[in-house]
Amino acid sequence: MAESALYTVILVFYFGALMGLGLWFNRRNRSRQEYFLARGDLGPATVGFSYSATQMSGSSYMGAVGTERELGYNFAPAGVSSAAAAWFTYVLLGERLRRLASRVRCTTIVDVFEARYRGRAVSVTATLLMLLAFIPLIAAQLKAAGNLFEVLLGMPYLLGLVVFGGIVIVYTVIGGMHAVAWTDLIQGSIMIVGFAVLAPVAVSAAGGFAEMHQRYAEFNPGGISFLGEMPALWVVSSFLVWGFFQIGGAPAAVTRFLIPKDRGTLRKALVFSIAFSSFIYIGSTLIAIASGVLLPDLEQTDLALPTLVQLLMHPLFGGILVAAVLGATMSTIDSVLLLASSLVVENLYVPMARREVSQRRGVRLARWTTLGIGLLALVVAIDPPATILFIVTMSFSLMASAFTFPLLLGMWWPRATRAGGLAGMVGGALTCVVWYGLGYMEHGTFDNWIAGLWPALVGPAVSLVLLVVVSLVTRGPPREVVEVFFGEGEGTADGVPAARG
Amino acid sequence: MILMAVFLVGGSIGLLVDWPAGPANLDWGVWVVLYGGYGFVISAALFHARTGR
Repeated sequence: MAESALYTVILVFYFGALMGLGLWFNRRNRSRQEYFLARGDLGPATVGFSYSATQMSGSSYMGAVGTERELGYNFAPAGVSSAAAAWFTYVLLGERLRRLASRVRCTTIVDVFEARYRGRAVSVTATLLMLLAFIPLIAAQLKAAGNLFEVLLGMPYLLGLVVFGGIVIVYTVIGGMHAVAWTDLIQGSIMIVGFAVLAPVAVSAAGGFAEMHQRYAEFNPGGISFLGEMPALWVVSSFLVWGFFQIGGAPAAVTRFLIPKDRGTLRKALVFSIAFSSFIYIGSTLIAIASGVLLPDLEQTDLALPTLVQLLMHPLFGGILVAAVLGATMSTIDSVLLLASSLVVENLYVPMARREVSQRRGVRLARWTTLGIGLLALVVAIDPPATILFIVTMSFSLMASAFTFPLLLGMWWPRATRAGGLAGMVGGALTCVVWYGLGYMEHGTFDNWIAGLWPALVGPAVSLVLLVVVSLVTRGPPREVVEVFFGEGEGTADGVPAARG
Repeated sequence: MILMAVFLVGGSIGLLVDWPAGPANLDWGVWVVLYGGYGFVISAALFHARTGR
């Protein structure tokens, strides 16, 4: 059987299983909160894998391997930092968000902002910023998957896009968070098996661990240590940004902290997250270095991973690994899609609805919204305009700049006020955009910045200063907000609606 | 939080240091900051999971 035909068969089975999972969980979604959050229904492994699979993505697997192949160990600190992101977010936010969700009903991360800062201006600003970043992000992930279909299966781009996008949209629409989290667990497990086999095979084919590095140094002399091709500030920036600033930069992943009802589940989930992320990033570093040795003339660096799979693996195993990479893309799309639709329903529609939205109508509304946003992203992905690609480039930095400190200080600093939160959010986002613009004017690209300082470092710094200064000069938050956020003990209400003020 | 500060500050400084050559044709920086960093993060996560701190 031809390689592409075998890949197609494997993908058909794989996608069929995902659809089945969506249908299986269809009946579990009786309310909007169950559909968007599956609160209390998921175990540590599912929460942990879902966090990490959402934080990473298929295109970043391929992109990271391609970039690391070019930059070698200059780029590797971003990997260890990304693995540490789970540790930062779980410890600094996880337990506090879980406890908060037992006191007030929080279905989205914007509900947290609204409960903390008590203002429609804060929640509408946060919702619009997230939607601005998310829809292009979904479109970009769909485009990456369509390109992979084109290269590996010889399928026309548009057909690949429709098949792939259709499947991920349908199982998300039907299954909600239950399906999203369980597919994340399955896809993550396949990815671990795939990398556990591919990494040693690739290292061995490149001459073994020590010889591989010697040969890589001949291919890329600057990439064999941290400081080579790239400026020192760039290397340190990537180390800081991909770890700590995922607190605000990955709201779809952080939403997972609202799921567990007990502390033990959350702590065990952290172990699954860290183990999964560390394994994948170490594996991708080794695979990237080996691909530099084995594929020195490869022109499209983003294709280093699939090309290596085709070169070294049996087509059957290669097909499974390709399915897992596509699955990782799906993990990001489904989570972001679900969060985007939850924002529209929970933070835009429901607060403005003139009458109570029943559970049945709410779930139906949630499904139609998920479908609508998915189709919109699919249409955008057919031929994404340049502005969309720019938004994707800066989406992480934008969210990290806008949300990291309003979220972190909102959970840890009782004195943070509504005006301070709003100033931090808007000021951080604007600084990020301006910093990208200044970098573009100086270097003609969005990938190089003034003084090598990443906008995802500058934006949060300005956000922090604004939040603290404005909070100190404005009146403190109401006592009931402080009690809900900083009081001791578990909540008993488990989800009473947050007061909207 | 002390562990986090050690990771962020120590890691940033470690990236800027000119490390001597180490095993397997890599300098010691890769072994200490990168592979040691993974070990540090995994250990810290296990510590948090066991103690809650």
